[in-house]
Amino acid sequence: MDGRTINSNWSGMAIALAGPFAMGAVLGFPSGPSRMISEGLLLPAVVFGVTALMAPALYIGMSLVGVSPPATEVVRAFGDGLRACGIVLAGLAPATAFLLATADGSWAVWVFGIAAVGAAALLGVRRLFNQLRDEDTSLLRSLPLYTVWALVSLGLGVHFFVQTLRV
Amino acid sequence: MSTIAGSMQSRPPSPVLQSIDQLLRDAPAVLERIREGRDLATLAKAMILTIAFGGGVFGAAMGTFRGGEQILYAGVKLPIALLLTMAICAPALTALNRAVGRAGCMRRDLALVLSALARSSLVLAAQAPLVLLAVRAEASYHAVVLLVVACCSIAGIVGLTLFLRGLHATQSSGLWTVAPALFLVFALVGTQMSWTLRPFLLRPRTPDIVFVRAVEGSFFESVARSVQSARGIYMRESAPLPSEWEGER
Amino acid sequence: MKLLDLGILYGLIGVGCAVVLLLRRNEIGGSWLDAALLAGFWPVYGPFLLAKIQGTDEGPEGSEVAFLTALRRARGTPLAALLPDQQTVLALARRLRVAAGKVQEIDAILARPEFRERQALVRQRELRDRGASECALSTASIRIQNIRRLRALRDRFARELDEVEELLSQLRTQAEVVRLAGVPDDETRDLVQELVSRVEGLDRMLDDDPYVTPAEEAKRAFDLRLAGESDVSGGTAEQA
Repeated sequence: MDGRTINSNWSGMAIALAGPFAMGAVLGFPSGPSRMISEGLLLPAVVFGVTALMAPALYIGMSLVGVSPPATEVVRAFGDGLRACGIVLAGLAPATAFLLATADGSWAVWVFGIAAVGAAALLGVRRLFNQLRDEDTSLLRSLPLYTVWALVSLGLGVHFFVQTLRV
Repeated sequence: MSTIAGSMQSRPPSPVLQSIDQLLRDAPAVLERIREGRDLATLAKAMILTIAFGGGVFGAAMGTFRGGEQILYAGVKLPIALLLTMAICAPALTALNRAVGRAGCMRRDLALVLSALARSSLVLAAQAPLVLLAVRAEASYHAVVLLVVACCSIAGIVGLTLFLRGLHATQSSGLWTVAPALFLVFALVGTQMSWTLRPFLLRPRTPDIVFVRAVEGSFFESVARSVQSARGIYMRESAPLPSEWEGER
Repeated sequence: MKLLDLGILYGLIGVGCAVVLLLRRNEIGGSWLDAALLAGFWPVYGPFLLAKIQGTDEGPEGSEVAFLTALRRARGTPLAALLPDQQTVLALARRLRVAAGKVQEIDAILARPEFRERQALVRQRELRDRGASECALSTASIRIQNIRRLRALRDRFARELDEVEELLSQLRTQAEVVRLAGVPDDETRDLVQELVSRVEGLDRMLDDDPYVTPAEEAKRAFDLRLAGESDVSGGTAEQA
C-alpha cells in the first residue's frame, strides 16, 4: 500500500471517525459506560469541528500568499490528514486503555489523553502539510503561514478537548 | 543434516527451528523474508516460542535470588510481560507507519517487532548465567538489580538495532518519527506491564511468595512518590526500621 | 472498568478464537500449539494465522536458507568477486524455493489415494479381468503413466536439489580455503558457475519435458479422465 496516496473512500472516512471514537471511549471508560459513550461521541466532534472551523482560514491564507492548490485538492488533503489522525488514535487506543486501566486517579486520563490526542493531531497536521505541498511550492512562503495556522488549530483543539474531559 | 533435498528422503528439519537459526546467524535474510512477506506465520510462531524460551530462562535466573516458587513465577511472568506489551503496542506501529506515509502492513510490522524481541530474548538467555553467578556469589539485592538492568539494556540495544534496520530496509522516509514514537509507547506500556506483573526479583526476606502483587497504583505514581521523597515530602508516617531488614544481604 | 475487566475481555476473545480454530481444524488446519498461542496472544498471532488460512502467506522457506546463508558467508571472503550480484542471488534463491516447493507439492499429490501407483495397477488389472472396453483400459493405462511421470519429475527435482546442496557444501569449504589462500582459483570459479547454472536450470526442467504437465494440471486431467471413465463404466453396467 502506498501510504502517500491514501484511498479517499468510505473506509477511509470510517477510520477518520472510528479512531477518535475509540480513543474517546477509552478515555471515558475509567468513569463508566455512559462516560465512554459521551467521550466517544465528543472527541470526533472536536476533531471534525475544529477542522471545519479552521479549513477555510487555511485555504484563504494559502490562496492570498499564492501557494494554494485547487479547492478539491485541499479537501482531499484535509481528508488525508483526518484519516492519519484517526489511524493514530485507533493505533494508540489499546496502549492508552491499558495505561488507564492500571493507573489510579484522573491524572492518567489527562496525561495520557492529551499525549495521545496531541500526537495524533500533530501527525495529522504533518500529513496535511505534506499533501498540500508540492515540489513547486515555495517552502519559505508556505511554512510560516502553515505553522501559525497549525498552532492556532492545535490550541483550539486542545481547549475544546480539555472541555470535554471536564464535562 | 541436509536442509534442502534431505527433507525429501528423511524427516525434514523443523521450519520453526530453521527460523530461529536464521535469526541468530543471518538476520538480513530474516529482514528480507519479512519485507517479502514469506511464510510469516511460521516465523511468528518461531519468534513467540523464542521469546517464551529466552524470557523464561532469564526470568528463572532472576527468580533464583529468592528461590522456591519464585523461579517458576518469574520464568513465566517475564515472557508474558514481553508478549503482552507487544500485543498492546503492535497496532501503534502500523498506525504510525501509515500516518507518516510509510508502507504499513500489520503482519510485516508485527513480524519485525517479534523478530527484534526474539533476538533480545536470545541475548537475555545468553546473559542468564551472569545473573546466576551473581546470585551464587551472594551479591546484594541492589547489585543484582543493577546487573539485571544492565543485561536488559544490552538485550534491548541488540533488539532495537534489528528493529531500526528493518524499518530502514523497508523505507527510510519517516523513520525518525516512527521509531522514537514507538519506542516511547513501548517504554510506557512495558514499564507499566512490568509494574503490574511484579515482583520479578524478590528480596530473600520476603516471607510469602505471590505470583503477582495487588495493583497498587502505577509505575509512574511510584516514580512521582520517589521524587517527592527525595525532596523530603513523605506519604507515610515512617520508613521501615533497620531491624526489619535483617534477612536482606 | 479496570484491569480485571480488560483482562477478562482479552481472555474471552482469545479463548473464543482458539475454540473456533479447534472446531474448524479439519477445514482450516492449525494445531493445538496454534490454538494456545491464539488464546494467549491473539493480537500478535491472529493476523498471521488469518493470512495462512486465507492462503496469502507464502509457503515453506527452508529451501532458501542454506543457499542464502552460504552465499552470504562467501561474500566475506575473496570469493565475493566471483559471486553474482544481490538481485541475481535473490532470484536464484526464489527458484530454489519454488523447486523445493514443487517437490513437496508433488509429494502431497502422490500421497492421495487416487494417485497411488499400486492401486492404479490393481484397478487396471480389475478392468482387464472384467473385460472392460478399450477406452477404459487405455484411460487406466494413461493414469498409471501420469503417476509415473509425476514421480519421475519429483525424483529429478530431488536429485537436482541434492546436487545443489552438495555444491553449496563444497562452496562453503572452498570459501574457507580461498579465505586462507587469499585468491580464488579456476576450480573455485568453475564451482560458482556450476552452482549458478544448476539453480538456473531448475525451472527449465519443467519447460523442457514435453510429457510432463504441472502437478495441478495433472490432477485436473486425471479428474476429467476419471469422470469420463465413470461415464463409460455406467454405460457398460447399463448394457450389462
